[in-house]
Amino acid sequence: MNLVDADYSLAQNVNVGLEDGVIGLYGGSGERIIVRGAEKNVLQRVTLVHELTHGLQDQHFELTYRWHEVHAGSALLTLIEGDAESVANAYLASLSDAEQVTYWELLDAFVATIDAAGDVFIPTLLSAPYTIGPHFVDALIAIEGVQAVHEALRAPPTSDEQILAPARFLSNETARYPALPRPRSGEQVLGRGTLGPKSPCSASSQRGSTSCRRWTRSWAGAATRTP
Amino acid sequence: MKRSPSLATGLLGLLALGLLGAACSAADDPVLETDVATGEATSQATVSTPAETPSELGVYEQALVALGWDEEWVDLVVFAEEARELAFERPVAIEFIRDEEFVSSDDLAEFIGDDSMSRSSRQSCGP
Repeated sequence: MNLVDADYSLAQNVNVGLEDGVIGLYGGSGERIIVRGAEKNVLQRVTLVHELTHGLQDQHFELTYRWHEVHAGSALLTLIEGDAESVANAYLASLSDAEQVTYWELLDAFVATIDAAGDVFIPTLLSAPYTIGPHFVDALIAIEGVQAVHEALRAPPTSDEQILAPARFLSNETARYPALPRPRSGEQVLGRGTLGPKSPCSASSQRGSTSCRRWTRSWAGAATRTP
Repeated sequence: MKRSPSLATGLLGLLALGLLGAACSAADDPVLETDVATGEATSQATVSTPAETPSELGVYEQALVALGWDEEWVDLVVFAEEARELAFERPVAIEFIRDEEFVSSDDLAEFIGDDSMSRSSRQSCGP
């Protein structure tokens, strides 16, 4: 798909994104929030609202991430982060214009410190749950109210497709995953997964080749295998 | 991960249901009084003077502080609760860590290496 150059280091860029890009953590086991920076400015207050929402999720819903179920894991991550970001966005919107300007200045300054070495693919992919997720959550609230978010946290979406098209989630329409060819003799399967519609969507938004909406409409399921 | 609410959190839930509307503007409302030690709110019609009011916090916010929340953040706690129509069952520990300590912290390392997904983060990964 020509998304990255041949000498691209996936592991290095993922680690950079995780180490440099995280501005707050919520630890489920210890019910503990850690916010990056001691200034307690508006960026950190908005971040705290995001993490507090994770606290509510943790105390009220049985959220078990399932990395081994690639499709469900990705969708659940997007729901959880989308919910937290939706509340954080609402809090930001409740602030004065001056505070909002300060917030964006602080966020821009923070992003400028991330050493992504010109990479756009991994940063876009890692931040996708935070940019795509709120649209899904806000759509649920607009259609069926905040109770729909509670229901989604009890019975989460099972694919990125449902995230990108909330009506498909509400109508319980699931993705169809094509069967993969059997490994040839001597080949060993190292991993299985899907690009979902979210990954090409993120990439296409950077490359400008295909619109995200078109990906979402046409995507019904996909599967990948790493030989 | 789901837990039964304790006595204190039951009280918090009760406060959330019964007093949330009033508490939102309680900082300006001299009618409601709260016993901060127990978090128990009463509807006694007593007017408090500024000198008698130990805090600018409303009734519900004072109850949250009594349950262990840091006074500095209770407005954010209430905002999140109202946005999702849920009440915290118990306080969550909140720490602010300086940038350089955060990057080298065990918590971040554990987060990156954790595949159980019991943790969540807020990221801003790119332009």
